Amino acid sequence: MSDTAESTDKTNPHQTPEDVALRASIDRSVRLPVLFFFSSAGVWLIVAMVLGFFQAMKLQYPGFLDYDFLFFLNYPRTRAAFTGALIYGWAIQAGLGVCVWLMARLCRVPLRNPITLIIAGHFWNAGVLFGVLGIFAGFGNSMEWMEFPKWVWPILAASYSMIAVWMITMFVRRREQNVYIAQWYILGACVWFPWLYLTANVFIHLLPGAAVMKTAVNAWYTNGVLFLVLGPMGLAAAYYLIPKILGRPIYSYQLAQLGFWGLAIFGGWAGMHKLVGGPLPSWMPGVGGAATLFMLMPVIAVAINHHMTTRGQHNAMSYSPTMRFTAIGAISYTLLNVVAALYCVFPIAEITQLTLASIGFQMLGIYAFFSMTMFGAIYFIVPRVTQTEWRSAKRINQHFWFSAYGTVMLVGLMIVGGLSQSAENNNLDVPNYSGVVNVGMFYVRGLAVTFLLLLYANANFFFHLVSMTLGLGKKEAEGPTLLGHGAHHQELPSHT
Amino acid sequence: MFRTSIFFLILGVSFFVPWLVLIVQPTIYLNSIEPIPYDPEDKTKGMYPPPVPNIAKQGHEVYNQQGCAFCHTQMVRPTYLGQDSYRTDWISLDEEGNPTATRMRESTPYDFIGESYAHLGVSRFGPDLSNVGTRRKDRAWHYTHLYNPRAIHSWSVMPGYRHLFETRVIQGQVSDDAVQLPEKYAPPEGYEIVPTKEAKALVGYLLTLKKDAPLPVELGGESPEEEGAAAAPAG
Repeated sequence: MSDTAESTDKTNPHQTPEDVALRASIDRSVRLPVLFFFSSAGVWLIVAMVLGFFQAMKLQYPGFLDYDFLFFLNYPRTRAAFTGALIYGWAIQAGLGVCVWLMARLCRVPLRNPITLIIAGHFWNAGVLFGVLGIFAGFGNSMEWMEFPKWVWPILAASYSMIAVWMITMFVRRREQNVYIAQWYILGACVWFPWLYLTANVFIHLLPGAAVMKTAVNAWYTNGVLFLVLGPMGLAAAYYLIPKILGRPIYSYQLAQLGFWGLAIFGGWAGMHKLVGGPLPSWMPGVGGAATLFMLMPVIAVAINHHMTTRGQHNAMSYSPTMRFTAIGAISYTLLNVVAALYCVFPIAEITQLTLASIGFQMLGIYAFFSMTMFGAIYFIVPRVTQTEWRSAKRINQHFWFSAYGTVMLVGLMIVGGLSQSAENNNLDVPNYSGVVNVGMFYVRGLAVTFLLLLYANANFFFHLVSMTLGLGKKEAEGPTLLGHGAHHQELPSHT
Repeated sequence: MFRTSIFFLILGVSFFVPWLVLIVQPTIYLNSIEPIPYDPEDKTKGMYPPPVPNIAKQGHEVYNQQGCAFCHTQMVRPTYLGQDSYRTDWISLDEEGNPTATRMRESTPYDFIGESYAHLGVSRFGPDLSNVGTRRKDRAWHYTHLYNPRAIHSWSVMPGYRHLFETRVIQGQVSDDAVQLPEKYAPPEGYEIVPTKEAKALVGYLLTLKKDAPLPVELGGESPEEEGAAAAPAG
């Protein structure tokens, strides 16, 4: 699906017939691993949405499906399984699929041997599956984003590292002399995730150490996964897709560099600000807060760059599914960083910390920014690797609108709910905790509805994806699947 | 011109420095903190924090595995971050059930010595448990509450941890630690509900939780000579 008015400049060296043939051969060569990552990520996304609904129901009505033989469906376990499925099953896996395709395309090297990726992908999925089942069996942990049983992490670390080494090797053997900013971000994610993940698991599970330090490592890790793994993967997709669809180059290469190095330099310092006021040497959350504020500089650089690249071309959002999702994702990235910076300010930290608002922040990152960007990228990539077009514009439309409203509800409810909870927490007139519980549950009720909306949205996406994977897409000759009045726009076949 | 080796070098260094400063160095430093005697001359006055019994270590693992920390915190924040330390339902109680102070002190790294992970918490859907061991000293209360929280608080949304208990036929006398339940939730005639090993360990851990012990002088606590100071620890 080329939903674009792509540059048709005949002088462009990337539009020669040999070049078109090369791109098509690259797309064919990565077809298997990329579709494997996307479809298994899609399964985990559906699993996560179902578990998300369950956790919201079990949190407010502990009596919901409260049979003795279903004891494992209680709130802590469904919540842990939900997070695990969402982050490791869906988010990172979808990101890996997108990164593999981007890397192959940008290095201009057809993939000779997809077997490494497929094996690593199977191990990754096995790891996530063991993790989720382990949580239900009662071997989980109360550690954020590290809820999987202790013995799962070597599987995930090894399979991610295999994929990362594969991508770095491909980059080193690239044929293209130009190095694109998207590749920088992918290489960053290749280095940062194994480093973060090994550090977190080794320092928490293997090495002896002070209890509070382990909690601090966990805070640093969750922040790192959001800003140094999912962040770069999402930005790589946005940096590739936005100029590609609009058919014009990135506004400024210097700003792009500034954005990348700013993230690389400040990103590693952030994270422990989540524990401000906690039992830690106070410089540690302090450094984290300062780094989060400094991160606004690279974020502004990225935002200006994307804004200037799209200037005057915003109507692409009206017909291009990819552009719609990606633009929402890119805007959410800026918003995510602004919210992160606000959460570091003492009076705001006071009312957001340890409440639903912290969940709202994570959902802003994982759903509004990352997942939306990934949907955009998947709508772009799948037609190219399958050589068919999406079957139904209506399904894409429904996926978009239900996701968009669902996300706004998800983030909005959680942040407002968090603020009300903390008002109750500070209310000393109620001699027990019923005030906080009651006000919190009011918003959690909305959360259950939201997950149903998102489940519907993503079911549309998932079945569409499965039918494309099974080769049931429309023939290319019928032209790309566009939204609204897209038919008026210039169309190019999907091998571009 | 893009140099791959330079790129990876800068990338590596820019992450290695925060990793070293923020993770490795504090791990080494915080590893060195040890319990401090209240009075170095007179060891009978005890240590801060007191030693953790073995059952509490097992219970801590149950606390971790059952996911308690998703709803409960163990983190009393300083006064510039809210009213945590004034909440009368979180504060330590003395033998008569009166609050030991008007204000709790905030948590310190020392409070968690002996634990394998500090479950500071994520979001509060239930009260802070830093001092639950002194607020609820009764083992039977904990068993009832764990088995069915709504038997105690109608507004509670805590899941019942029935899988940590066993329903069995009463043989001879009712067991000492059989769960006491109101009639509405009671087991059928002739049966009793008893805690498993996990439930016992978990309650053993909860009963040790008293994280507002007065600080020794080295950490800014008041000197033991000042009479009555121990009951009102300084933050």
